[in-house]
Amino acid sequence: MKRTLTMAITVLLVVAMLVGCGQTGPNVNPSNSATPSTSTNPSGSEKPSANDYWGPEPALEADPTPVAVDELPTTGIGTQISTDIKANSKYKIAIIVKNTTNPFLLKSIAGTQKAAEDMGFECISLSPARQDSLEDQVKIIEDAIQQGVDGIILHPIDSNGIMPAIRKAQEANIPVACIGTPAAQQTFLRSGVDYTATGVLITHAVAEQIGKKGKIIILEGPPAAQNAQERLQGIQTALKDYPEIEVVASQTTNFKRTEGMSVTENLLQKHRDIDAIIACNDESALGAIQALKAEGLDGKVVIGSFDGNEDGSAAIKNGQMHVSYNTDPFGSTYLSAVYIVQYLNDGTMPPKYFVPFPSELQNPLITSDNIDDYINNIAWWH
Amino acid sequence: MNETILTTRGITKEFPGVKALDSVDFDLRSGEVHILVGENGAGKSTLAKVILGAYVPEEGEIYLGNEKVSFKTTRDALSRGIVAVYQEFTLIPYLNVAQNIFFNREPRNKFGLIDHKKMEEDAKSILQSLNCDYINVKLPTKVLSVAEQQMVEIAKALSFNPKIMVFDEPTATLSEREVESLFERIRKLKESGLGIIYVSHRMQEFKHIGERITVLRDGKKIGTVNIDDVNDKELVNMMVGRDISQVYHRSENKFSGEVLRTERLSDKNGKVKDVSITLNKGEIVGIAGLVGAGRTELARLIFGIDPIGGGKLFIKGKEIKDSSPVKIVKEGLGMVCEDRKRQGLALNDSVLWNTMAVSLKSFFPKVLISRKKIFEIATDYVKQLRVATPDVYRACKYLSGGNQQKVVLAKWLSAKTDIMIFDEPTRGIDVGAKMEIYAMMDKLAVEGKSILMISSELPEVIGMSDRIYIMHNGRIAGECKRGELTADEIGSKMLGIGGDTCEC
Amino acid sequence: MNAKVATNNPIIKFIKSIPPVVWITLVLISVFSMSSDRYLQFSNFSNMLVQSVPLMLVAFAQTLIVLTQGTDLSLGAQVSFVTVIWIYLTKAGVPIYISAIVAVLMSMCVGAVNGLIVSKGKIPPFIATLGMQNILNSISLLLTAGASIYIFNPLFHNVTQAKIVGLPLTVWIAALMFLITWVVLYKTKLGAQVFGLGGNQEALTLAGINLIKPSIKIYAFAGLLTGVSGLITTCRLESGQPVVGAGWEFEAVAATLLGGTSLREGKGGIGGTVFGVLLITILKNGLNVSGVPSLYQNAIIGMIILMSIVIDALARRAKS
Repeated sequence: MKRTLTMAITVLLVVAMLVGCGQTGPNVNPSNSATPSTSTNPSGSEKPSANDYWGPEPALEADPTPVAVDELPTTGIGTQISTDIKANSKYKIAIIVKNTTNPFLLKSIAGTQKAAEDMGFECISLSPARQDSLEDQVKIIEDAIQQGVDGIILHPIDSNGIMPAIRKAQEANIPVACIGTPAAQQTFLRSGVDYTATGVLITHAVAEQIGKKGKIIILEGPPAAQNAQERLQGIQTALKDYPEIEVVASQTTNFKRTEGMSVTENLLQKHRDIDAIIACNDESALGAIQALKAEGLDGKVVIGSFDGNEDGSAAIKNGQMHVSYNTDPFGSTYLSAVYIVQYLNDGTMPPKYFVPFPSELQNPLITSDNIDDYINNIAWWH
Repeated sequence: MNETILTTRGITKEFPGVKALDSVDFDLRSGEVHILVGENGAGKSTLAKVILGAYVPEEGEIYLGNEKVSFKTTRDALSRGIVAVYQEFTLIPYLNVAQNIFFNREPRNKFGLIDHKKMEEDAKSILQSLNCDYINVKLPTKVLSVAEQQMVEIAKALSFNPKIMVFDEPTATLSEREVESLFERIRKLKESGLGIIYVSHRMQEFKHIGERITVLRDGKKIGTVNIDDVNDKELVNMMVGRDISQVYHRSENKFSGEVLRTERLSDKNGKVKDVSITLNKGEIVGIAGLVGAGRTELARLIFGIDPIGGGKLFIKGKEIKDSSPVKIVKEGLGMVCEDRKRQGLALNDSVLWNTMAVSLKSFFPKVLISRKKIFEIATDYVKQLRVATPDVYRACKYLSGGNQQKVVLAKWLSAKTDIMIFDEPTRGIDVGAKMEIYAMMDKLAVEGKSILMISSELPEVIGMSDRIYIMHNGRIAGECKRGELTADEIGSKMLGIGGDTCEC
Repeated sequence: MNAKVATNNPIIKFIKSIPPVVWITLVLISVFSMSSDRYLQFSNFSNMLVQSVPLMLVAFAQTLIVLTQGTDLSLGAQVSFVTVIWIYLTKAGVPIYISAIVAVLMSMCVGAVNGLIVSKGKIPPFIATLGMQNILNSISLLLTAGASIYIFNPLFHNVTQAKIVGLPLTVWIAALMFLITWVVLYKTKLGAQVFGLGGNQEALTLAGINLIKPSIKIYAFAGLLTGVSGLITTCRLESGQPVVGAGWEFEAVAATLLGGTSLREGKGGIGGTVFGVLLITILKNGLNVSGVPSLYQNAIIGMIILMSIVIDALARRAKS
């Protein structure tokens, strides 16, 4: 009985502390609570300061319109990307990824390193020791701030969960550029592809190929992943234009080749007469191709996918895959690095918060028509 | 003389397949030590546990004085002043002495937290009453010696202010001197008016301490006698149901051919010096000697556990160089050792796997094994050796000492071992099991196997051996054939006294 | 050698109980301080302390369980669960403080269920808590539809930013929880039973103590610790994260072992665990600050953990 009492008291103590600090909050940090209504800075011509990103309403909606090619400070995409801009001093810029097993993220690091070489800054690459651990990513951002970095290029593991760490960086006046998954609130820059747009573009390409009618399967990404959700949304939006296309199944394969294969195998038992598969990334598409081969259906089904990775490119070259989207991590981190250097040099802000890259203006679709050029000159995975 | 404080009537306790207690009557008076004896499995520990509330009997009644009680848990018995000092220690290794004594009954201060100071003082005063104030109550019990831990156990029991104490084989892990001091304390407790139930099978011991003896056999009470009214022979008869003269029985047997020979064998530590012995087929050779005479070391040397320092070792005429247990086992030797729990058996494994541990390869030289065949072989040995186990799948830790020893034997027999070294084969097992082991040794010899037996119990060596080597200070101090020397003569040789009457 | 000399002074006792992990920690600090001039700044240490808090509380919980000869594999999932429940309930309109209490109570209930399964069901803790881990993970993912969930509330920010006497509030909360755990472990009957469960369960049975109640209490107390850890984690991440605690249970085991608690016999305590956690945090921070790639980091962390445990084992063997 006494023990129960002790425990209850313990809980009360903890709660009391939380309540207490809630009350003392304004005193402890008056600047935050005193101006809770300060909303986000529209597109800021000044250096961002902490409170600009600190408001009750998260700024999730970002204008996805592409920036015209001649307005970009870089030329080319993929490994061909380059710039004339040089760093005024040896800035320390950190590229912080989610893990170091995904080739996409490795090429992000490579893109930043290339930018460091071209422009003359110091690149630090960091990754959570526990793969894809948000908590670890927060820690390494905190550590990077301690280390005194000048800018951060970030692949956030979670939009909302990363915000406290991003705010800390912003309080230290460190610009944060997010690639791929955006932060929940506006940061210095968001780049990488607009996932919704990629979904739309690929769907159109697949629909054209099958004559705007038929049965298709969608292989979704991890249900929790924001980019997978956006991409799926793009696919579904585009499909509204094709009333004669029927989605016979839409299942998750978690971006994995093995799951892509097993899920497709299972679905093929029921739906042998499909015309196309749209897979939310190359890996799951490659799994689907394996399954099709096993069923003797290879070449008879149109495959649309995303990433343009090495194996995906090979599949396009030998005709197993119809189309993929060049998501170019190399180019997008490079571009972000250029914007950060510009800002550090003279305070120049990017033209807008979200600069999709590569966008439809960079001709990002990879098909049999341009596959050789892509593999030989552009591909980010080289 | 003293009043009866505890009585049981018709206690019956059954376990799956065994009637552990069969209508047992028992009574205890205040101020007496009542010994409970019997072979392993006779039910003496079961009876103790029933009295302690650890087991609930199917039938029968327990009375405290004139009041009928029924204990569902040990707590019930505790609350009536019945406490136990167990053979296996119940101390928590990383709590200190005081915490252990007052475990779960810690004195509290006004905040409801443990009052360590008061607890330690109380613990000290209890230890003082046991003349054990040299034990520091703040030490974790882990660092105490076995005897000290035993005292803490007793102090813990006393802290309940008991009327009845049950000692379950308390001396199993104590040295002679420690046993004596334990007895002193038990006498003191007895004088203070406690009733003490003392479970044991060490006859030499309990004669010094008990008033009355109750003998159990196969779950039945054989009788209760005053300790002064009975002699050893009668006691053994009661326990075993057989005459003691049958204990060491040897059949007529002929020896043929030498299977093991050492020539001036020495080890590297000077514990074994220039030992030359022989062992023939079908022969039992005993090695007598005091503790430290080098007997066990000699066995280890022959078995390849310790490296040979000098001399030669021949097995079946073949000289063994760079010996190792693996090599020796291949030559057909097996060892049944004293510390069977650690060296002889995988206690958590079943009888079946222990039996087959060495021989699996010889029965199944190919990759696959047949469970059915293994079961048959193991069951066969269990029957042959009369191992008391419900089935061959029982883990060895649940068997009594004597039965464990039989499983060790089964292990070697199944491996077709023909030379066996027995190192204190009967230590810590009861008379009945001892006799079975002796009978087994005799049978093995008749079957043409050879046995080298090391034992501290002189009657055993004399009774069982065809030939005896007497060791003293690492050397062979004498050799004699069966019946050539008396116990006294051998004893004096063991001590290194007296002339050399036999060839070495 | 002089193991028989016991001392009254709890401070000397504490110093004596300090395992080599402390020295290794100090060596690490000096090594890292050479690699970066920013390392020895107070802000960096404050940063490291703050970072260590969530794992610290989980490691206290794990130490208690390990002392009972168990391993709780559901601790990390409990943390995730609490972050999700807190945000989920608050989002559903429950006042934020009430939902915090409810979240912690739920995690204590989860612990109690663990304790019940382990003791009453006689299921090995490893298996029982593995099952619980999966159940909790799936509940967390179901409640959040797999993603993180988010509300805006200045409380989170205030908790992480608040400072008392120069140290962050969360560090003080960790200190308070240390104190409570210490009292439970060394000053209550329950604490003695923890050592009993780990050292000699037979002893408890023979003493007429049923093993069920203490087990339930211990696991529930572990739930309290993970609950608080979950609240702090939520504040740090300002969101409910269904997978945030994945793997913490093992890091907590590592910290526990580093701190000198043994997987057998119920030997050890939470004093060492504090340093076990600090060691891991300092190591990670140091490797990050000196820019060591994460793929090497894991190997280095693994090696240091092995090394400390081996050194500890050798030191102990030398003593006896």
